[in-house]
Amino acid sequence: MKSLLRLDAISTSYGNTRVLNDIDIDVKEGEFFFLLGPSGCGKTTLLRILSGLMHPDEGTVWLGGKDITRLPAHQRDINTVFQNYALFPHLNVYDNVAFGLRMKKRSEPEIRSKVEEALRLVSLPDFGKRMPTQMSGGQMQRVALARAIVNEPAVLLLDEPLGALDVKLRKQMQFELKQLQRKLGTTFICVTHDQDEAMTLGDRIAVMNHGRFEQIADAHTLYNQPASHFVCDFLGDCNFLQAVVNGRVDDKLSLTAEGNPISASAPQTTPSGACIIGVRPEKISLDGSRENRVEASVEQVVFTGSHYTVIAKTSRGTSLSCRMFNDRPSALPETGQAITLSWHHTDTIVLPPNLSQSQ
Amino acid sequence: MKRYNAAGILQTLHAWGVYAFIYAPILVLIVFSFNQERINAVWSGFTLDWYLKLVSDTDLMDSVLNSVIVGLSSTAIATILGTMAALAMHRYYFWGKKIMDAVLYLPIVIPEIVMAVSLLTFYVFIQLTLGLVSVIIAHVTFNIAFVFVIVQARLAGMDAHLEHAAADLGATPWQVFRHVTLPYIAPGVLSGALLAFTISWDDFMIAFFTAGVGGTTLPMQVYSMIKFGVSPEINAISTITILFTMLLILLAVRLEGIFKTVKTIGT
Ligand SMILES: Nc1ncnc2c1ncn2[C@@H]1O[C@H](COP(=O)(O)OP(=O)(O)O)[C@@H](O)[C@H]1O
Ligand SMILES: [Mg+2]
Repeated sequence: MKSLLRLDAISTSYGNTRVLNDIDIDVKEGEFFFLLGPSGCGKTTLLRILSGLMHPDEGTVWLGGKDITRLPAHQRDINTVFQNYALFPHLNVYDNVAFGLRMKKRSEPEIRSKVEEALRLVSLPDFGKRMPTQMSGGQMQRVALARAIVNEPAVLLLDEPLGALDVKLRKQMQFELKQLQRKLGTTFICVTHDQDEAMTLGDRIAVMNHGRFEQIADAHTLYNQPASHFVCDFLGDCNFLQAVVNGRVDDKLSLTAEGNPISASAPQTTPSGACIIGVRPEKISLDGSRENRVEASVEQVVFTGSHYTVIAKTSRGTSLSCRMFNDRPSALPETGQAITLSWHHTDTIVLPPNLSQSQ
Repeated sequence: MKRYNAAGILQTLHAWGVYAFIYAPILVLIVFSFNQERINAVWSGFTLDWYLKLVSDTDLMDSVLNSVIVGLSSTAIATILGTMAALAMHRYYFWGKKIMDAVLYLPIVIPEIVMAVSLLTFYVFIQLTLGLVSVIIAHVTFNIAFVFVIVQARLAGMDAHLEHAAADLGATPWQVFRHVTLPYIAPGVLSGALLAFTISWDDFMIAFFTAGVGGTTLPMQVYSMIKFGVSPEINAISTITILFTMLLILLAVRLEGIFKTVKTIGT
C-alpha cells in the first residue's frame, strides 16, 4: 500500500507544556489507523494538527507528497468527526450533511444525491428533516459521520467517535464503522482511549503516552510483543515480575525472577541486567505442566461469567492473576490452597526495566 | 379534590399583594387615562379624548419623533459595535483584554447621573453643539454595554467546536461567520437590540443633560408637561409607552434569558 499521510518530527506545546514530542507516523492509503492512549496524552492535539485547526511548533505534515503543515483547515482534503459531534444546532440533518458541499458551491442536484447517498450509508435515509436535538447519541454520531464522508476526503479523522455511546451501541457502531471503512476504502485515523476498540478495528495502532509514541504495530504484535511496560499494561491485563537476565542459551533467554528460573524466547538483541517480565493471565496454567514455574497460594477466585480469575500471591507477596475459561468449574482451586503457576517460555514477555513507574 | 390550608392561602395572598404593590399605581394611571374628568381623583365616565388630543399636540409629537430617531439610530449603531466587541472578546486574545472586558460593563453599573454629567462635561470640553446628535452618541455609549453583555453571554454558550467543524468542512473564515456564528448569536443580537431600544426610549436623565435645542425626547417632554400638573394626556401617553415597552421587553425575554444576565451583572 502507498503511503498517504506522513508526519515528520512533529512537536508542539501549549505555553510551556510540551504536548507532542517528536511524533513520526506514516499512514498508508486505505488504512484504518488508530491513535491509542490514556486521556490527556495528546491525541486530540495531534488530530487538530492533522485537520489544520492547529499548526505544530516543529515538524512537517505531508499529505500525498505535499507539505500541508501550514495549510488552513478549510483548504485540506481532510474531514473530522468531532468528539462531541459538533452538529450545527440551527440546521436540520440534511443541511448539516450538505454543509461541506455548499461551502464548496456544488450544484443543488449534486448535493441532493450525495447527501442522500451519505445518509443511506449511515442507515439514516429518512432523517433529513430532523433537527440534531431530536436525535439520540447514536444517531447524532451517524449524522456526524455522514457530514464528513459526504465530502469524500482523502483522510477521515475520528476523535473518540464511540466514546459517548453505551456499551451495546458501541459494539454495534464498531462493526458498522469497520464496514463503512471497507466499503469506502478511505483512510481512517481514529483516536481512542479504549484498547478494545483499537484492537477490534485497527489495521495498525500507535500507542501514545505523554505526547510520544511508545510503539506502532498491529494488534497482535502490540499484545504479544509489546515494546514497553506501558504498552503491555495498557493493552489488556498482565502480571509483572522483577527479573534479572542470566544469559542466553541457544534461542532461549535465561532469567531469574523471585528466585525462580525463568526462560523466554531470546529477542534479537540480548538484554542484560535488571528487567521486567510480563505474563498474560490467560497464558498461565494451574496444573504445573509448563516449564516456567512459580509457587503461590490462592488469595481469591473471581467469577466474571465467561471465565474465572484466580488471584494468587507468591512467597514474596507479589500478586499474580490467572484466567481460566468457565468450562471446567470442578478444577477450581480453593482459597489458601498452594498451587504452581506455570507458563511456556514463548509466553514470557521481556520488557526493559521501567524507568517511569509513575504511569 | 382540592384542599385548602392556612399557609397556602397566605402564600397566595402574599403573591397578589406583591403584584398589587408593583402594578396598582400603573393600573390607576391607565384607568385615569380614559377618564372624562380632568382631575385625577374622581371617575366621571369613559372617553378616548385624551388619546385624540395627543395627536394634535405638536410639541409632544415632535418629541415622540425625536425619541424614535434617537432610539433607532443609537440601537443600530450600538448593536453593530456591541456585537463586534463581543465577537472580538470571544475570538482573540490581546493585551489588556481583561481590563477592557470589565470596563465594557461599566455603563450598566455606573449611576446614570454620573454618566450624564460626565457626558455633558465631555461634550462641552470637545465643544460639541448639543442637539439630537449628542443624545444619540450618549445613548450609543450605554447601549453598547447592554448589547455586548447579551451577545457575549450567547457566545459563551456556543460550542467552540461548531466553528472548528465548519472550517474543517471547508468553510472560509467569512463563511464560518456567515453560516455558523451569526445564526447562532442572532437571537442574542436581536434581543440586545430590543433591550437597547427600550432603554433608550425610557431614558430621561441622560437625555436631559445631553440634549440641546431641538433634541427634546418624549420623557423630557412629559417631564416639562408635568410641571403644570399631571394631566390625563400624560396618563394617555404613559399608557401607550408602558404597553409599547412591555411588548418590546416581552419580545426580548422570549428571545433570550436576558434578565438572568443583566441581573447578575448589575449586582
Ligand atoms: N488549549 C489548551 N491549552 C492548554 N493546554 C491544553 C489545551 N488543550 C489541551 N491541553 C493539554 O494538552 C494535553 C493533551 O490534550 P489532548 O490532546 O486533548 O489529549 P487527549 O485528546 O489525548 O485526551 C492535556 O494535558 C491537556 O490538558
Ligand atoms: Mg481528546
